[in-house]
Amino acid sequence: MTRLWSALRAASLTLCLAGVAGYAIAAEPPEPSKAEQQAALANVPSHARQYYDHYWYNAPVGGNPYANWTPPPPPWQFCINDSMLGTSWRTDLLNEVKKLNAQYHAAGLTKAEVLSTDSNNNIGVQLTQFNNLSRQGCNVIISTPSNPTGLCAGMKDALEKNVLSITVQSPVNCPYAMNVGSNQYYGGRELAEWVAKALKGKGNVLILSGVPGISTTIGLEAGSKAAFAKYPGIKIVGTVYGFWNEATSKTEMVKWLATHPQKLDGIVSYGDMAVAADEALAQSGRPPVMQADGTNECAYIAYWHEKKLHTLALLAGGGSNGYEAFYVALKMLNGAKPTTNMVWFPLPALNDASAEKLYAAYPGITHTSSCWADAPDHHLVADSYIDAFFKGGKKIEPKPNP
Amino acid sequence: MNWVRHRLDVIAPFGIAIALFFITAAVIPGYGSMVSIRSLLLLSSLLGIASAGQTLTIIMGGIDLSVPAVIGLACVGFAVAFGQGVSPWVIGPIVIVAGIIIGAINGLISRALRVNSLIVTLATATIIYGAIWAQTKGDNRGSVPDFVTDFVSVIGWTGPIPVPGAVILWAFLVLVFVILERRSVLGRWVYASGANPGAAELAHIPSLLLWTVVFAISGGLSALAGILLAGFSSAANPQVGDAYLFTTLSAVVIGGTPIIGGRGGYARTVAGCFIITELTMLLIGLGLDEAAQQVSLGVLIIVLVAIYGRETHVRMQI
Repeated sequence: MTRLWSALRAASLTLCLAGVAGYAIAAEPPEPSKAEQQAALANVPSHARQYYDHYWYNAPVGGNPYANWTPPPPPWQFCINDSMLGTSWRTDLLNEVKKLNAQYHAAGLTKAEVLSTDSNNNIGVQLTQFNNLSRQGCNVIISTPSNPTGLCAGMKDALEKNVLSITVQSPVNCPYAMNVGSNQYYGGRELAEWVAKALKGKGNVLILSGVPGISTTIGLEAGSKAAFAKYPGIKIVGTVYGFWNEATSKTEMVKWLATHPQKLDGIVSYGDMAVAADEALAQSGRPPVMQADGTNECAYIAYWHEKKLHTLALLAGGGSNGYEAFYVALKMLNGAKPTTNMVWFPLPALNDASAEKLYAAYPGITHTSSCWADAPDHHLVADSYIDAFFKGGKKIEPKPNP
Repeated sequence: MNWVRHRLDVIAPFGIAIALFFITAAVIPGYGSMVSIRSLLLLSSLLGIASAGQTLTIIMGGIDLSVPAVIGLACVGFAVAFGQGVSPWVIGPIVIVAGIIIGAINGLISRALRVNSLIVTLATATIIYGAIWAQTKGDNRGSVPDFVTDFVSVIGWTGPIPVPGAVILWAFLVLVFVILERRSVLGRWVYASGANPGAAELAHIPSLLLWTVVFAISGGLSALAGILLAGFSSAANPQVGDAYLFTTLSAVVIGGTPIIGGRGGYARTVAGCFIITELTMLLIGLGLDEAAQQVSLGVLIIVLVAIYGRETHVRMQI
């Protein structure tokens, strides 16, 4: 009996210690002062400032990090420094850059091959690979850092070597790179606003989020919560983490639905997980709900079409993001000077009609297809939107054909 | 009382699983509904099928860290091939045989070279992920036949029984494993090897064959779990099994099978699977976030090991 009691004592002590540890969870980033916010946004073209709402959830917005940079003469060597090439989003990005590179190679402006590396989400390996690319004669390194500070030393060194570093949808916390992408806070807000309006400001909503505690998720959730807070009739009844993995999303959704018998009216999800959420609802005997999702996965577009859903999605494919990053590189290689280090754009929203058009552009896709349905022109914004972030420079010739 | 104390490691997991169900039913309204019970059974069965091979390898004194990678390989292989028009009755067996071969290689290398299976299976997992990437280049376009999706659907039926096929398959697997562990020569060898590998060899147990077969079983069942997860998630994703590394090991340990082997059994892992699924459902029902769920699961492992997992190794008791 003594042994049993000592075991229980050890167990309760552990329980107390772990309980205390449980509160040590990552907090939201601090809000800069109004003066700091104004100074940061002064670098951004006035028409784009609305898309920089709560920018500090992503990374610091500053001035031109390439003020003393001289564009190298062609032919330019394009390189990709990827953190994890094992997803269709990253593959689409790589393929888009290769496709555009081939066009400019034909015009004698770029080298034939795009050098690429994959670090399997190991930031130390990614930094080494970044440094190697920078030493191997890359003029432009398009990177997706797995950590906002891990590549800073390499990027500083690259800048000194006159190498242009561009990040895609993963901004870095240092003034040595151009960051191309979208504001997660703004995206989370936009999705939630659509759901709140679709529910006419009244109902129970669920947030189906990605990986807990990372900056992308924190920004998306904060934006969604801020949007829902404006509607007193909307109640956030839960947050489920699907880890951007279909099986995990469905497992967690099934668990949530089994333990929450109350009515659910809306879901905001952040990509890769929307179909899993809908299937979990259907298999739990629940009717479909108003759902907004942050991606344009083929599976979701097809599911949308098959089930005749009323929903909203944001176009955010790797191919389109690759085009925007390549375009920023072209602007700078042609001598244009950026006004800021953070080129952010609003992601195009798909409504019922435009989703049907997109579905027609990808024949044969089903709710199990794991590709990305980019807009046929592979643009996320008009080139003129990006042009406003730059001053001077030559006209880009030939015009890129994504 | 003495009997309870001596059999605490067997009674506790099942007692906790049953108690957790009634506590959750009392605290969470609607948890006793058919949909919730079917959800609990299905999610536990997916975890149970993925944990079956792991239990055997651990009892034998090994460990299989390649479970998530084999699940991912099977999920991608099955869904991509079916998407390209290959019959599921052709690709299904091919994928399971591939899992068996990978498992057999794990066991063979671990035993023949006397390298810890933790290292070997970790290396195999890395090779598998690399091979998937080399083959697909991240482009995992695929689809899953409807009958596989129905087999793992919460609201699926198996003939007149109102549970999906995966639950019935799991029940059958439990029966086979319990008989295998208690009534077969292979089962005796597994326990003997886990209790004392040196003594097992002196008793002429063919350890190389044993390790090869047991890891092959683990690989084959991981592949089966991968096909089921392809149906469950309706997608080809190499990372689909990621959640099953920690949870399969937890199910084995929470069930009362010591990580150093020699004792335990699959029936206990079944209790472990129910405890993990029920506990996370209770915590989700109470509105606890992901971080609190992880902390609670970790605490539960320590609490249970403190209560019934501190027995000395079988080898030291002889």
